[in-house]
Amino acid sequence: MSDTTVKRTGLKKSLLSFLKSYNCSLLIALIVLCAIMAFLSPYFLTMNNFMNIGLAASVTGTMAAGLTIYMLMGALELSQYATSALCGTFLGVCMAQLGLNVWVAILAALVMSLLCGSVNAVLLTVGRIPPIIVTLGTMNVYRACAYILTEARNLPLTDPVLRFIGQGKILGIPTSLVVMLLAFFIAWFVLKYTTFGRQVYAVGANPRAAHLSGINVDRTRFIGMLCAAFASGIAGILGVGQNMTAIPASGVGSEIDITTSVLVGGLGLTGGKGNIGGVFLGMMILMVINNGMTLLSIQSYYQQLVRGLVLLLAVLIDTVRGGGFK
Amino acid sequence: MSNTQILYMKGIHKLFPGVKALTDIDLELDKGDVLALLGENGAGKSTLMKVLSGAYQAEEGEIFFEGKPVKIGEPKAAIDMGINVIYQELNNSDVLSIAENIYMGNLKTKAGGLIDYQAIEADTKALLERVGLGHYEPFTLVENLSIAEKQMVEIAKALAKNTKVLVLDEPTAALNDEEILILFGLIRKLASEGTAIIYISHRLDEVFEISNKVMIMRDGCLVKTLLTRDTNKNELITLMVGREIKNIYPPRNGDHVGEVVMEVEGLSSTYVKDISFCVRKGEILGLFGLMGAGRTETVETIIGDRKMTGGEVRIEGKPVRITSPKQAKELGIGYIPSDRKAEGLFLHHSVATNISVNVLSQILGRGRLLSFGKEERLTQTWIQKLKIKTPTPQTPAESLSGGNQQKIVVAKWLAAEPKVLILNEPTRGIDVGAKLEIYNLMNELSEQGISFIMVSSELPEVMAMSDRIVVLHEGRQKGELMREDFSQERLLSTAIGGKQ
Repeated sequence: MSDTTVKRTGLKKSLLSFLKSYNCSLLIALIVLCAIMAFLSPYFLTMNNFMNIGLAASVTGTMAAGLTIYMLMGALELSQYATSALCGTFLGVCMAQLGLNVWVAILAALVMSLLCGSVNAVLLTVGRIPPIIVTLGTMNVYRACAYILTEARNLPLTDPVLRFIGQGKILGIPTSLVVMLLAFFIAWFVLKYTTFGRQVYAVGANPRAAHLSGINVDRTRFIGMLCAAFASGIAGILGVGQNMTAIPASGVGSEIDITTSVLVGGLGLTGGKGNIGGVFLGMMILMVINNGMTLLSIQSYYQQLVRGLVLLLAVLIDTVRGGGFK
Repeated sequence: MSNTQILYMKGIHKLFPGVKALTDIDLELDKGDVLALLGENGAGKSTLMKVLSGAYQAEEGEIFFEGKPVKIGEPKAAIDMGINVIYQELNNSDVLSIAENIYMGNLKTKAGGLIDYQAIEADTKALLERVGLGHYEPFTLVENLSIAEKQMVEIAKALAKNTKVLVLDEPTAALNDEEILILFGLIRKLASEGTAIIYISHRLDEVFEISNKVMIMRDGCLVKTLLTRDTNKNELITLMVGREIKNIYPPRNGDHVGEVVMEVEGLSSTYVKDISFCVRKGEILGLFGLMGAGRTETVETIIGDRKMTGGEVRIEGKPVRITSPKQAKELGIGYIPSDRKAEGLFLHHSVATNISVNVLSQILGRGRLLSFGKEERLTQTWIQKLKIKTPTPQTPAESLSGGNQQKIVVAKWLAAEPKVLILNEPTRGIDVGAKLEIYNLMNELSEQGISFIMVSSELPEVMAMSDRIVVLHEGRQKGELMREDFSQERLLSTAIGGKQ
């Protein structure tokens, strides 16, 4: 066998395994969905609409990328939107009320995100409170802090750097979209090429075996939580830039979108399986659904109905794939 | 057939894939009998009781109950007939009351489907009197009861179902002396009322105190059934052990054993107290004991998985404090757990990642990032060394056989180059061929200077492979035997709690 045939069979093999993979099904679902939308709305296939999808996706997507690392360890995180709102309003307060430089304010917002993540992580690892309860609690605490910080008002901002982040473009691509893609790239890289990534998968697959293999399970979970929170901080800054306003109520009602993206993307509730590529596709599917419903002028309560159903469907598919009905 | 006979299991055979678990077992029980069922771990006692309770189906054999042939197809059928098994792990629900526990799933109702609490209270009261818990109100929450009392509630529950045959599996394991007396009182009373009792225990003293018949099993076969008054402790031990040492063990030569590598002194944790032993370079140290002896607890304490409450561990003379398996690994102590699926493997993950996860630092390449080339080479090396049969290194661990799965766990620890490797039941549930490979590997590696602590409940295995054996009994160290002193009788009588 010559080198080229070896290469070709290798290529054929990986193509074949992709065709059989869950991600391939997701890609097909996304394409079918886009085709249906294009058929239903002449506006769907316009550049302008794609930009809209991209902008909406950038905030949710950035958080989903961070959440993937954490949810691979088989735990839920519901406080991300609240964390991002708190970081966004903190950024606003730093600039509008304290008059700080924009870079200092951005740094402060990111530190705030790590603080939020640390509180979650301490309650989780030291307090031994189940993740869903920890983040259900802090979701409300952080959201309340955001309101308290601004006395429940929106803070309009005027800063060129923020405007560039939220509304500017790099090489014709919206900056916030670039940030989201970067977040996915980093998450992919960390999970694939670092020992930490391997430890995340190990903890997710079998925490007891991971512990006995000399992995510091609590430390891995702690860092995973910080990843999710840091991504929320970045998403908060993107959100402020897109609206040029710090909004304490931002993301209320969208909390489940991030979790849904991750679950549609093939990460089970139990952890240890799935990959970031699937999450990206899952997130895009969700964004196209949201965008499509808006284009078709579907009432918001019906939209909520659909989002809920998509979440349930994702978990159902996961159960079926895991042999839960055998 | 005597007219008082209640149960007759005749010619019972039970097969598991690749193993004959029970061979031609006969068990006869008369009304009022207390039959002690004896045998080492793995002798087939539990399997036999599961056939009786309907949890397993026998391939061959008949069961007669009250003289009539019966088929026990499921646990409910056994219970309906009046056969009840009380397992070691109690099934009480702590947050419910005694009465609710007793009548769970069987609550009496009044017209209209409402629960008839008055009737239940009266019935419970009567049952509690019978089992010696008359001083409790029927609606006391079970969480307020001691373990012994909870056990009594389980018995009361069995009585409520009109039990004719009651099986007690190691009922005294968690009881103190006084509680045992109460339990025995109850057993005698039930027997005198005509209930037949099968009593499984490792404690020979109890056998003589409570039973009128003894049945001894070994390797899935019936050794002998005799009257308790016609036998003595020594005879029972001899009957229990005569286990055939099949020729599956390679010869063990401990001539190369060198200096002391690890010392454990006065080790204590929540369950084990004051354990002391040392391991030499290239030695295989056996850690033997029966169920509940504290073998796993001891080794889990050594590796820092359980909190050490007293004592010291020294490695090559230096005292070390180990508070996590991570530290143990860094100090050169590896641990292969007994339940490889639950504790050893990442079942959905590939053979490659299962091995490399333990030695990620060895597969780092440029920029301290994972090198897939290095991972591939590392995995291939170990697949070849241990002859792991897998289609590719990317195959998920769950699709391999038990023996090959065990080899993955062994490989992942050998890759970490430990000084001392602790093996907890290393051959549990794997076929004979794979067992032999594991034994040969242990011999070969010990000659290269790796020390082993082999935890095992298999007497022939621990005798064939160890250079020295430490025997545990109920969390305490009961003895230490050199290879030349090994005998099944001695080891077993020590493990049962007698003198060496």
